[in-house]
Amino acid sequence: MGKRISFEEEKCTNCNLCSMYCSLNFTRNGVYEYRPSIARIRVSQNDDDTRYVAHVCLQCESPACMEACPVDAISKDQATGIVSIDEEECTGCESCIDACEFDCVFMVGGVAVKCEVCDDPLCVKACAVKALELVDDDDVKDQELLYREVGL
Amino acid sequence: MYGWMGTILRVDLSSGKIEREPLDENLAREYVGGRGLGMKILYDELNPGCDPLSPENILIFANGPLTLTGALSSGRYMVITKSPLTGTICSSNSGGYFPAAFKTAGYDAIVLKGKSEKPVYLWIDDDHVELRAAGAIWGKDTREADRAIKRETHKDARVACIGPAGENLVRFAAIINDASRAAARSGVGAVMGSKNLKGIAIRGTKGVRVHDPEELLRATVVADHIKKTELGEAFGEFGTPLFVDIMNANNIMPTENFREGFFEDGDEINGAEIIDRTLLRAKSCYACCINCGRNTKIPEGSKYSGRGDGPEYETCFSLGSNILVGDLDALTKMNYICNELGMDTMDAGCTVSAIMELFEEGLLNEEDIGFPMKWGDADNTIRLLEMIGHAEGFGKEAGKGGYYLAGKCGRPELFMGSKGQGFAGYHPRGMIGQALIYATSPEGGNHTTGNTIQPEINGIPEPMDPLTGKGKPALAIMRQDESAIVEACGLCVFPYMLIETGIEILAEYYTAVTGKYYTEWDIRKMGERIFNLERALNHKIGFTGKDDTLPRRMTEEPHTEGIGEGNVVHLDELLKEYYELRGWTPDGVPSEEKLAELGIS
Repeated sequence: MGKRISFEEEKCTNCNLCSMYCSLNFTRNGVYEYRPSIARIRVSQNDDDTRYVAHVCLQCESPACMEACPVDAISKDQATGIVSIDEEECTGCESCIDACEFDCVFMVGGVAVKCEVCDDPLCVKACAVKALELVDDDDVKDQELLYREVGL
Repeated sequence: MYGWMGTILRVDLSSGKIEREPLDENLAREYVGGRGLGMKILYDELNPGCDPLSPENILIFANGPLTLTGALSSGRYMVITKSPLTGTICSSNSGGYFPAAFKTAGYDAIVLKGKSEKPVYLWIDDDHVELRAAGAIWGKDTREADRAIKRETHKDARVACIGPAGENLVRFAAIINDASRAAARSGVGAVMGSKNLKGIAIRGTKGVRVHDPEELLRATVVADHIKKTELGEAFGEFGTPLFVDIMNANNIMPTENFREGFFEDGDEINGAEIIDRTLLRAKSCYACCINCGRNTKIPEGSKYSGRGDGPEYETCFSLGSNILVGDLDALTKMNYICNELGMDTMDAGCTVSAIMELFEEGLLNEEDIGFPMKWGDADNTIRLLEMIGHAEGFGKEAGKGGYYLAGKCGRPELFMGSKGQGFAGYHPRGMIGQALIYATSPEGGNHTTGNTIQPEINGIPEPMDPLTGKGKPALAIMRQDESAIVEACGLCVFPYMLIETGIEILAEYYTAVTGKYYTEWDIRKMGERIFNLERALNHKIGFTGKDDTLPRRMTEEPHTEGIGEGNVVHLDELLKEYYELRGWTPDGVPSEEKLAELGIS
């Protein structure tokens, strides 16, 4: 059983509240900041401004990012299915970013970061159109397809 | 400081000097940000008598302390300057994604002075700020310029720029951001053009500090609440063109240069028709859940072609009902042209409607214009709009605004506006509170310095008879002060004016963001301070109550049929009560006592 954040394209309006609220989790020294540039979920749009896609890690069965990491900083928890990055170990080589065909790994302050699924995800709470959901679900085909198809 | 970024960027376009100045905390406490802070800077630094299109004028971009926080609909910014259209001060606002980039780059405001010798654009990449040559981009429309500037800077940059209309100093030129959103009103784009500034591109990666994010998360609960209200739900579904139906049903949809309040082809240009015919998808501004934005395309097989955003309700009225165009494709085309050339659809429409009436009266003819301008002629309107934006032929005269043109023809009263700026799409004769707001607004006929749709039309919080003056001075004051504080906070007026507890909620957000306790009363008081400051600055420029006027059509020519038949605006009585309640002198100037009470000096 894998926990992950699911995304429904139809509902998204590109408001970016998910990124804003996600970033609150990564605040340091007790100072809370809305800082979309460090978020683990990012919305991209096509040139036409007709498609909006929130990129958020699918917690893949066999993660390409993990395979690609030369220093074994990425691991998958067998119990929860969640793929996480050890920021201390990460050297910032960006191999994982190149490897992730879904564009769900991001560079922040010289290290790679990705969604590691919070207990009570703020992105889901903040999404007023309910395009995001916390699910126990291994069936990621639709979302994979979306990321591949859009290629944003 | 929580909420504010703490830095004002100052750019002298004449010398190329760029400076950073720490934000004065006392100033921020009293005038908040956005429209308030910008207006205070103008109050302190502007030569009131300056020509708005001279290097002496000051152009200010500002966001607010609540911009890009969890507060509802917080993706807005404001442009504050002295208007070349009205000669008054003005604050024009816009949403989209540019405001988020602006704030996260680390600035509360950008103050631009002087005039660049050659065309330039300003590139801000967080702390890196530079002026770059814009010679190759000058002349491009806003869509092309947006793309070109992004190519030269960064793919994640967000751009606000002017089109040919701004370059040609069209008095109602807009500043367009994200290629589709407009800080449209009062000719702010012409001021930018007069400074040889083509655009501002910003990439921001910093964070906005807030005191209590958990309290702000409650915004999503409020968002749910808004979306569940009848109007909130309809807004998301139909966008602002939803108002076509509401205004038509209440006989206040301005039609034929405000002769009437009902447009028989309303169903051809309303929100439902847009969904059926042109809508590609609904979209939001950054940090907003309402998604009233319309991404549209004129369908294949139409006489017209193009794609872009909108039209918004205000365009459905100004270039639709008010000039008797009931063809959505034509209306959408006009909207795209205005966006691409960078001009305000509202004043473009109010200018065209005045031209059509002057043409009908024989005061303008084919020789003057180059072609006839009859009611409902969409194709010649399209021709004229292009001539205005490019300053060609008669377009050069029309680009000076409808009030100028009507005055030149000896009939200034045929321009439907106040202080030289066209009205918004709410007929004054059928909404007496709105009429008073138009007359007393520091920036002329507009709906963002206060609107009374909720109480007068939708009966929220309590029904008010829209056709009488009873209680309207107090209502106008309340709504004006509310919009001043909402725009000073860097927010969109929609949710705060939509729900009856809007200002109470705003006080809670303000407290949560800044970490200092503010009551609803405090918030309202700040709004009052800002509004009075605007009137005081206008007075320095030379405006008094004598300029708080409405065209004769509103005060002497009654509504001919339907709801409000026989109604006119009794402006003089309303103004008397309004000035008294405001604590101003009988000639409409904020009194010494009032200014002292509000701490304005």
